[in-house]
Amino acid sequence: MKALSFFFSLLLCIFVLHSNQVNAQEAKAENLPLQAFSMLPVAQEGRIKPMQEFARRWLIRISSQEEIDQKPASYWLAETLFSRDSKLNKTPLFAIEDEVLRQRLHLDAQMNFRYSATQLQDAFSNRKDELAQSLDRWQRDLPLSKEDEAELALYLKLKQWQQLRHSFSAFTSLPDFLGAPEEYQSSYFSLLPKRNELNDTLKELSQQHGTQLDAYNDDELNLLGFGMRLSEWESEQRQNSTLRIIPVSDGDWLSPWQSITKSQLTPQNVSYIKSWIALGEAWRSNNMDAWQKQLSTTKQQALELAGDPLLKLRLVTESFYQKWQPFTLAAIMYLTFAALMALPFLPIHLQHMLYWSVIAVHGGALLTRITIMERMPVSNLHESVLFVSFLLSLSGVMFRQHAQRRMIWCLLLLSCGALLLIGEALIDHSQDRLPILAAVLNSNFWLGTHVISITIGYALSILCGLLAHLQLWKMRRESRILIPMSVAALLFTAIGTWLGGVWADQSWGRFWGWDPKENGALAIVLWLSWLLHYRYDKGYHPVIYLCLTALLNVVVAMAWFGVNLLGVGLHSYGFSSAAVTGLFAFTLIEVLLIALLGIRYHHAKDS
Amino acid sequence: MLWLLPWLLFLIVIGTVAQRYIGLDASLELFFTSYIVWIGVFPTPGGFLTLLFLAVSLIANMLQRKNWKMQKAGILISHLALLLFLVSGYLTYKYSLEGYIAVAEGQSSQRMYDYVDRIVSLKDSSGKSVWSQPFSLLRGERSIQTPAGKIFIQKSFSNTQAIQREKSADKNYGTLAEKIDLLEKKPELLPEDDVASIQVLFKDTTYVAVESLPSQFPKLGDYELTIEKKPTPLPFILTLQSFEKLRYPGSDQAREYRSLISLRDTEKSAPHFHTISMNQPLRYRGVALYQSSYLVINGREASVLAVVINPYWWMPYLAGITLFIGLLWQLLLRMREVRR
Repeated sequence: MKALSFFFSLLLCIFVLHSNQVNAQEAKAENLPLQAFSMLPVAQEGRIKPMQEFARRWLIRISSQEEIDQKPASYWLAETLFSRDSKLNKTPLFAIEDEVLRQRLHLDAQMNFRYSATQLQDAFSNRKDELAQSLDRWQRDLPLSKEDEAELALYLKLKQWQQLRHSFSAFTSLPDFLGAPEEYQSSYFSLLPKRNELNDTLKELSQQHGTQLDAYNDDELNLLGFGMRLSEWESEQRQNSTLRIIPVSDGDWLSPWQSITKSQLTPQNVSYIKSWIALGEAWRSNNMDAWQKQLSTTKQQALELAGDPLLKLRLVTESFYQKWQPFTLAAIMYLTFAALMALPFLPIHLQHMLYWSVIAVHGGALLTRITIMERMPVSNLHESVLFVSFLLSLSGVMFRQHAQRRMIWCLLLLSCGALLLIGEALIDHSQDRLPILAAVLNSNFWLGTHVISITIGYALSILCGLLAHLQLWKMRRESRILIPMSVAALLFTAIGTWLGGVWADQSWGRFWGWDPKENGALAIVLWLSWLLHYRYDKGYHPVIYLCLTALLNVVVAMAWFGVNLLGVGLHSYGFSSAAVTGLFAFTLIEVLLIALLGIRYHHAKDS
Repeated sequence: MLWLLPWLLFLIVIGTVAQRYIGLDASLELFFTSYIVWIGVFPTPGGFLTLLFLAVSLIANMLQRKNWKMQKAGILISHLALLLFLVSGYLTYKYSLEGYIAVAEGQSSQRMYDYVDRIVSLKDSSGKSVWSQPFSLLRGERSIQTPAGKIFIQKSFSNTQAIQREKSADKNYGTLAEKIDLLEKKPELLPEDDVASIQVLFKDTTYVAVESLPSQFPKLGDYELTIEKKPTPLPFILTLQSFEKLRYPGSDQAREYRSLISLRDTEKSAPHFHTISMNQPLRYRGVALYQSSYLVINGREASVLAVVINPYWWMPYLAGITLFIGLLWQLLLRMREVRR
């Protein structure tokens, strides 16, 4: 009973600590709750995600932060989309950390190096020619200097933000600066049926009076001016593709403006867009009832239009995932429980409770990721860490009756916690945390066979390495389970490598290309084969055997992470000095530790 | 075996790291397909020799009668699988051909092009080649006899940097040769990215041909001097009917590429239609076609198909299944021992 109370108290502490770190408080703007708004679907970076995540990615891109003025990203997005307040243009939003760029734009250094849209517009208005040149070169795939590239990137961010602001401009009143005559004062959408008539009128006027402006009366001049400004505004707005909220029949998702340009204005789409307009009105008037009612309608329409029965589940799951960061929670639990597991007096049932609870949380986290992405989480280095660490901790089930269970579980939990922390460090925050697959990797069959086999092989290899460490520490011969475990690791790694070759043959027509990742997997196979040959050789020495088995961890680390740092081959992530330092430090520590343990064991054996 | 495995591992490690600096092909040549690797002044077994030793060692082990027991069946089968892998690797290395076809919608092709090897040709006005030589055989200053007459090769580079020519008043130049001179450039990491070039003297006039400037290949008399990737004829005519690039929603990133092609054995045969997509190749008459990528040529989308001719493609599949059986047998045996 005491153990149970202790366990639940511990879990509660961990959850409370963790929830303090994540933004668990439902954000409010005045009295308007944002939870339902945060879960409306939108297409970005190749997948459908909740609005909150869309907003977060936007803020990170332009402002290098995940919230503004202690309000969540979804609040910022709602303000951007719905507010007509011109104060937004003066909010410091765009992060410019590059001093050279700030100097080029004549921007004074200010707090957090964030600048408003107005400041940037003024700065860019003095550099129109240079920007036009850079844009032209970029569109023609010609090289740009680093400074020009940085300036152009900032300019495009500003343009995209303005597009976001004007996502619904086709369906709201025409902007005042267009100077629309009375008969055309409505929305662009309402104007569409009269567009040809307007063009014909302007053509007639032009044929009648030509270029002599004196020949036009005031009304005709106004109409002419309106026509020109409308054409310019229209051609700019028609490229507005930022807020892709409208699912269409071919599986694509369009922005409101794109639905006009691609002739996808079905009555359902128009009704959906109008519900968004009504949402904006509720936001501006701060009307709680209208807001909630409209959110419910908008959400319902979105799900009906998408026609995907699992979309709601994926949106809810992703909201949960992004908010609660279950892998971070799992890492905290692993490390905490590993420390507890090191206590020699820990009761057996408490050991089991700790072990199974962290497996449940880690497994649950993986399940949420699978639900969101609709595939196994094995497509990149970060995902492989999440999956291998789970398999590694799950392999501890084999030792539930083992005499050295506590120590083995302690090592496993510690290793898994460390791996998850490495996984966190591998996240590129400038990219989507849940990335889509490149076309050549887009095969559930091969992801499910090759990658799973290899990851099981990696997990079993690390387990063998950890067991060897334990045996060296305890100065005992290898446990009976080590050899079959090594054979199992060899089986999965070898077959996984073979399946990788088969996949490569199906994709590119070559079974083996000496790619660094292939060579890394082969290195693990060779090391395991060598271990097994050595074990049955006449000159076998138990200490050497255990040391070589313990070094498996280094071989796996090199094969798993090291090859990615070379910057060549199909699995390259490019060079990172921090990663190299980390890998080097790990290798050095492991080699020294194994050498010390081995020498100690050897001397103890001799004496 | 006890020294072979770590030595092979060592070669793999240095060969892999070397790829970062000298590229895959140079690394292959130096470490993986060589007989000897020089470490300082010491000759050591290269990849090829090491694998040969491995194969011999495996055969010797399999022929030992003491290993013909049920308890060692798993090991024997695994060793057999390894031998199959080595043999298939050798046969693939020796006999397979790899290349690509880039074809726009509505266009046909009856050839594949090598990624690495180039040829120098003379083509008549109809585009037919009347003379060709592998580029690798035309290196260094030399005189050659061709249907156009005698040509003196002044220089030839497998990868080229073009610079502005400083003309001599007493020499004659062709149109392109007037503007550019050729300098040798370090090979690219991927050989298919190299740009080959050649400078020749023909009837007292200097001409240059650069692989990346096909529209400016020089005319030597009645013939055009060309450099291109080596073509290999295929036993069928391939026509790209349509190319489809499926995108992820709300994104330009491709989810899948798909080519609908028709194949005809001869000009007069009836076409038959097939779809080639990522991870789903087509095998026809000993040729395997894979969806590789796509290009935009003159505003039109062209599908790029990787082409492999390898009669022994099935061997690694057989070897893998054999390895699985062997290792599984061994695992079950070991687990039984532990339970006892």
